Amino acid sequence: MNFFSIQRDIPGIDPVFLFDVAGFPIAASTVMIFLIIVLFVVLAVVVRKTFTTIPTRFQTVMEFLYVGMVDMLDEVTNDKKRSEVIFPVIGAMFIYLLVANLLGLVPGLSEIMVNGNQLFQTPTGDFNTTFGLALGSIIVINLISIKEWGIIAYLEKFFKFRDVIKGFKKSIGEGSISLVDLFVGVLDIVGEIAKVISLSIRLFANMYAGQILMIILLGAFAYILPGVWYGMNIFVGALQAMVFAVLVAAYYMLAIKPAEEAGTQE
Amino acid sequence: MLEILGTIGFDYRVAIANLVSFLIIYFILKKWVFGPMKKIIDDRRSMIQQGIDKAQQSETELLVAQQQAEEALKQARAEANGIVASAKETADDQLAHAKKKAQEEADAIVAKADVQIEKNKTQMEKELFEKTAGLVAMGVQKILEEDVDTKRNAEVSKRALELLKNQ
Repeated sequence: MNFFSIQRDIPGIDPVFLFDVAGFPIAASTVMIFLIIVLFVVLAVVVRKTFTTIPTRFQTVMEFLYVGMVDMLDEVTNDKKRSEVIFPVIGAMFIYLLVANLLGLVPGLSEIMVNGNQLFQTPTGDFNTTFGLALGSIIVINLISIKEWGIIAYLEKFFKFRDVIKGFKKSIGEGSISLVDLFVGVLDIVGEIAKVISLSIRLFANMYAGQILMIILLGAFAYILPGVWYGMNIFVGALQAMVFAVLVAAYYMLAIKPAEEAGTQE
Repeated sequence: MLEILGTIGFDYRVAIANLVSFLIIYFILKKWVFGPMKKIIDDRRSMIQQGIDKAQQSETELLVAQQQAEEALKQARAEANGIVASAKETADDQLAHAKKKAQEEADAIVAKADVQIEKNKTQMEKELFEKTAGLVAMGVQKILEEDVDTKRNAEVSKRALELLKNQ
């Protein structure tokens, strides 16, 4: 028995399946999300039961976070009406990722085992969570874009045939340049896919690497050093949650009509 | 593509399950956390704004009331000045009237006194004349030492009076 190190197995990159529900496998990350759902239900009850116009200390802290998120989103969108529309999605995403990232750091939680496997796994340490979230976000953003621009204008962002025809009508030179635009438009489709990949892998890799590094550090020296990394992980967890939410907000702003065109800016 | 993603543990079933779980979280937060918090914050902001508006309104009302009070004070002062001036004028009139009346009364008393004095003077003069005439007659009688009768006495007295009158 070594008092100066804690030896643990490095978790695999694949999801840890715990059991099946109606033939649908339930992963450890999903169980952790269920726990987060329970926490949010409790929070919802507390908000509904105790929050009043005259705030308590807890309410003040919650409102401070809420207003901070709204302000942060306002800075990204620079449009209050747009912020109000997308805040529930971006805010929910940020809080969910923040709690998910930080909950994995709660001591003892990762020690609960079922059939030799961890019952709770940091959701963002599972690629499926980040990928699902990123894919869902980009799909919703594209649907909003279609609603905003119309299906024809939306498709024209990727397939700029009209520009090519117009270019060639003017001159051969302009037609040739518009062919480049056509190619760039098609590349934008790749760009949309890249958004999903970059969003999901950035978050997953940061969190997964953080976990692995923590296990390595604990295995090397159980005191002081992991504590520093622990603090760093809290910071990284909060930062990554913010980066993910802000990027989704930025993609949303790129997908919709500019404020002056839509007439929404205040 | 799926093969590449599979190397980092991609499983569409877990991805879907976790995405659906997030949608549940989104619904809970939107409906029961963000909604009530936004309402509470908006209500509080509205209350504060109302308070500010009321304070501003009160300030405006106070200014108006002060202006009205000043105006009323000014008007009252003008009215008071008018009343004082009018009272002074009335007092002056009354004083003049009283003075005039007093003067008239005094003049009347003086006139009456003059008449009385004149009357008394005449009476006294008459009495003095008569006494003087008697004294003159007595004096003459003594001087002449002659016995004159009453008729003669009366004549002498009459003559003496005429002499006095002529003098």
